Amino acid sequence: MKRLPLVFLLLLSACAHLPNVQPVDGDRQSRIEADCQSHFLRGRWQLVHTINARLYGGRETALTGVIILSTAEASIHCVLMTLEGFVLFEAKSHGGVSVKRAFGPFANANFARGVMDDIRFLFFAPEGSIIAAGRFDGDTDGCRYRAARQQSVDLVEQPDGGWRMQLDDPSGCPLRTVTAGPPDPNGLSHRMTLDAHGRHAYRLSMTLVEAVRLQ
Amino acid sequence: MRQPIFILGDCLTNPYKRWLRQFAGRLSCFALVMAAVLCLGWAETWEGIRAAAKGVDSISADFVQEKHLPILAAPLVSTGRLLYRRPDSLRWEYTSPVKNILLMHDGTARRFAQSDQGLVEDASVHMQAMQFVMPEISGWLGGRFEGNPLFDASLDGANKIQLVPKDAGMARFIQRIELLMSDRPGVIEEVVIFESDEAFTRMVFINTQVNPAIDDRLFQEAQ
Repeated sequence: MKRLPLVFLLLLSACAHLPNVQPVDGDRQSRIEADCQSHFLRGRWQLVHTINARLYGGRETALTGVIILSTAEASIHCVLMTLEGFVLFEAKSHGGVSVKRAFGPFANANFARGVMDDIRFLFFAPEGSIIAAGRFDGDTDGCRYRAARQQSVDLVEQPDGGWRMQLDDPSGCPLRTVTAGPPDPNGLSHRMTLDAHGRHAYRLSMTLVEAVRLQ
Repeated sequence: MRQPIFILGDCLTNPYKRWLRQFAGRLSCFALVMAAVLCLGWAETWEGIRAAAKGVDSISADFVQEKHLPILAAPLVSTGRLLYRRPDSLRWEYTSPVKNILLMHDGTARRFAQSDQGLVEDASVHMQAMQFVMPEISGWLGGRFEGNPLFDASLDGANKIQLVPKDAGMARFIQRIELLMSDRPGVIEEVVIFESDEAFTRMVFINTQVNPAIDDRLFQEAQ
């Protein structure tokens, strides 16, 4: 019984540490903030990815994902299909989420909302403002954003030219992590990995097949 | 943040298993149609199709696939090759934009997709279901469309066959399939699978060889 409070203490403190952000001078801070913002898309895009999904339980499956997004309208139109081209899921998010076509396990409102949340996290700048920009632990530049529900997002540049972004809950426990390769001139990374943490963890490894800027 | 994908993972062991099996059956039917239709004889009558199919034991073809969706600015284009050998061996391979291989041989079905770790086998439960569908191909290979349990078939002109799903559940996936037959007997030129009037997949076959010798390992190994 004496161990129980200790266990609670350990659990409470398990995720409490966010990396320190060392302040830098004003010019450099502006540059870092601009670099952070450059990783998010602007305008209207059509993106096609091959997605290798490692699901809860270790199963792996591959899908093709088509996304039409508009950052100005905050809208997403998403289609998931088999690699052979069968559409399994199609939904739009513009305010609310409306499912146009979904089969079997994809015909689930939570799934649809979750897909849209993941797409928004991957490609849209966080809704909140930058609350810190500077040098992170590990001596890399990055930004910390305020996110909804008292969550926070850390976006940190990587030595290979890529970037890493993590969504933490108010306790500092990671909810989502994105690891992206170096971006092309349009700001698009051709390889991205999304890790969902927690009890039902999964990993989506995404390879960009096509990116078209739409009018 | 909600966690969308675990739902899929959980469902694989629960009520959706049956659905996945049904869907996999339909998907594999699609794969097998791709293989089987290549073996069909050129004909204007069912009798002619059956007669032409009797002489076909294996097929090799390259294909170009276009996926048309209303939301796409331009169709998605994939290329690959397809190998089939009686009675139950199939290799349906996409080579671009991403390598993806479906193998069926001796009653087993396996699928591999390119990932960061190379070609990784898709161990989804629906692959297990594919082996149940392979026997369907023998009927199609024999050119026996009439009486097929899955599709109502009709000859539309001299070189087109139209297949319409009998089952309403399958019709949610596939509205109809159109097969355009080549002037060369036994060769299909084009297959169009309509999911709706606006969403369809067109596969155009080229470099088709009838009765080539095909190494066993191509039906057994992904590499």
